This record gives sequence, structure tokens and C-alpha cells, in this order.
Amino acid sequence: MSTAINGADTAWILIATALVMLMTPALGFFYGGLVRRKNVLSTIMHSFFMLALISVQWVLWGYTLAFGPDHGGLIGGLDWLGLQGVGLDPNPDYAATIPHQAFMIYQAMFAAITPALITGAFAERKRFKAFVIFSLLWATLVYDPVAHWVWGTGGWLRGLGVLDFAGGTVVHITSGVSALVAALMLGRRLGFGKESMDPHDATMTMLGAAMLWFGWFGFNAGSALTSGPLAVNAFVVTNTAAAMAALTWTTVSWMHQQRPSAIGAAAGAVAGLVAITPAAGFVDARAAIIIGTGAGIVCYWAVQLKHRLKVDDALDVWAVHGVGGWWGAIATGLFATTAVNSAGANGLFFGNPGQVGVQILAVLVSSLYAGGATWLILKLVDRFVGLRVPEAEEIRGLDASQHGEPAYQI
Amino acid sequence: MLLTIALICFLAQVLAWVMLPATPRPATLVAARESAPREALAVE
Repeated sequence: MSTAINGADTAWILIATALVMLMTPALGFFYGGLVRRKNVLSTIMHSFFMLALISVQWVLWGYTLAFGPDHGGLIGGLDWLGLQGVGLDPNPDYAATIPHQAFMIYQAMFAAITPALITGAFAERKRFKAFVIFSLLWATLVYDPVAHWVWGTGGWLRGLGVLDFAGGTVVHITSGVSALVAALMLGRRLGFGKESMDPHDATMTMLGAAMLWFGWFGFNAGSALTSGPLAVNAFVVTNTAAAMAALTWTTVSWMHQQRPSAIGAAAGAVAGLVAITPAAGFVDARAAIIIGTGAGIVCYWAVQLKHRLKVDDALDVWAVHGVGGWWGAIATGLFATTAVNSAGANGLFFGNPGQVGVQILAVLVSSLYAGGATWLILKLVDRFVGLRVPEAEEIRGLDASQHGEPAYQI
Repeated sequence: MLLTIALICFLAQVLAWVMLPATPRPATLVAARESAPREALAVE
């Protein structure tokens, strides 16, 4: 295999890295608009701080655990600790035409946004200190191993033929299921179901969603790791699925609640982006329309189910990322075709029903592992630090109680 | 086959938009606006 560096591929991956980097603060704005005004700064800080925290963790030990030389299909070795041996020559195991460090920093942005997604579940009530320690442990004990299973050379799920182009399993299922566990363990916010917890700034949420959509082109099209036709396919299906899911969520909410919700359109777009993530390099635009439609429907009803069960996953992380991730992973097994990507596999609609089984196995394993490990980590953090702020601080708001700074002076 | 399903997914929604009634403003939003301080609503 050729290992010559290609300038166009390298430029595209660096741009895609910057696009994915923008998604984490965009997530902060998406979530920030959805909380009450007394908690907006703390919510944005969760995402902003995460970008910094995981950027350093990734360089020191995260990257080698996820992508380092394999140990039993389960974890990468410590050979690349502190990026020793991760140089400017390509690593053909992962990307033959870009410097190894370009691949590493691109993956760093995925590692950063994944635990940031979980913060929507415990918004408005978690201690900042507990958030920091939980996030560091979760990135190390959940994200890094699962990334190795699915994407690492020698990873056991990769060996079974699981298709996950840009992180449906690694990013969205792990974070979505962990969010549900976190919401259940932290308990409901004070006043949940009794007082209004409506979004304090829907415009901020819409802006955050638009920035996420923009950044997602880097997330999915960048995952081609080249600047060629596969990146173009991923770009097209990403936009198509996001659009179709935004339309569908709006339609379903219009029929169910007699109003075409703007925040619903934003949530729908994100659900579509989640669902197309594992499929982006394996399906065509017609399948993307079906995947987007499914995402808009199943994620909307997952939100309704959450309300009915009175689970305070504050910002619908499980419903959008968990359920959207499940749907996307299974849909990849339905609609994948080697006509799009000869390195992939065919799905059920193209004569290979076995791919659905492999995808379901990955869904189950990643969900169970992420959920169980999250429960254990939260128990540990609660034991030593305490997960929740005291009642008085929760009533006062986390901006004042955790950061000593009001978000707005107006 | 995928094209047929995709077309149905989209056109069914277009039909729904035509059929759905005009949207009344939710009562909760009206109440929130009317209870807000006048200066908060003022335009400089």
C-alpha cells in the first residue's frame, strides 16, 4: 500500500477537524438555549471545558488506548503514550495518505464531543467537580475501549464486520445510553413536572443546531479520510438525512401537538444527523431520505415516552442520540451497498440479511457496556465527590453556585 | 424500490402539510408574553 502523503487529503482532514471542533461549542449553544437562564453558562461550560479536557487526555493516553497496537481485540496498548511514535508519516492501518498526527487530531475531536453529549442529561443539577471527574473516567473507560472495538486495528467488533462509518455506535449509542443511566442515577431536577422548565432562549438552540449541522459535514464526510468520491457521498447523504428528519419531526409534532415546533425542527435535524452517521459512507441519497424519515419519527416518540415515564433526561440525549443511534446502526445493516463503498458490505436490501444481525449485536454490546460502565463510574464519583449540588444551590442556579458568574447582565 | 419508499416518505408529508389546520398560537406563549414587564417588550 502506498504511504505517500496527499496534499488534498491532508488539507481536507485538517478542515474537517476544525469543523468537528466547532461542533462541541455548538452543542453548548444547542443545550444552553434549552435550559433555564440561571443555568445557561454552566451548560455551555460543560461543552467548552470538555473540549479542553479531552484534547489533553487524548494526547496523553486516550489515543493510544483507542488506536494503539491491539491487545486481544479489546484495547490499544500504551505504545503511543503521549503520542510517542505518532509522527508525521502516514499510518497505513488507518489513513495511508495523511500524516498520522492528522488522523490523531481528527479523532481527538470525536473523543471530545462524545462525553459532552452526555451533559444534556444531567444539566441544571450536577456538581462541576463531579462532571469533570466523571468525564475523564468515562472517556478513558468507555469511549476509548469502544472506539478500539469498532475502529481500532484488531478491534473485535471491527473483525466481525460491523459497519460504523463515523460513530453511530462509538459516539451516539455510547453517549445516549450513558445519558439515560446518568439521568436515572442523578434523579429529577427540583420542581420537575410542577414548574416550567421551558427553554430560556430558543434562538440560541436553533443557532446551535445550525452550527452542529455545519460541523457534521466534517464529522461524516471527513470520516472518508480522503478528499475523493466517498467524502462527497457522505456529505450528500448527511445533508439529505438531516433535512428529511427536520421535516419529519416538524410534521409529526404538527400532527400530534397541532403546532410545527421550531425547536422540534432543530431536534429533528440533529436526530437525522445522528442516524446517518454510521451509514454515511455506505448508503446512497435515497436511503438517506428513508433513514431521515425514520429518525424523525422514532426519536420524536422516544421523547414522548421519556415524558410519560417521567425520566428527567433534561435535554433528550437518550431519545435523540441513543434511539437515533440505534436506528442508524440498524438502518446501516438494511441499506448499505458496496456500490457506494466497495470496502463496506451489502445490507438486507442488497441481499445480505446477516449484516443486520451484526449491527444489532454491536448495538446490544455497546449499549450494555456503556450503560454498565457509566453506572459504575457514577457510583464511584458519587461516593467520593457527590454527584448533585445541594438543593439551595440548585434553586440558585449553577451559573452562580458553581461558577460565580451570571450569564447575562441585561 | 428505495426510490419509491423515499418518494412516499416525502410526498406523504407534503400531503399532510396541505391537510393540517392553520396553527393557533399556544395559550401558554400568549400568557407569558402578556405577563412580561412592559419594558422587556419595548423596542428602543
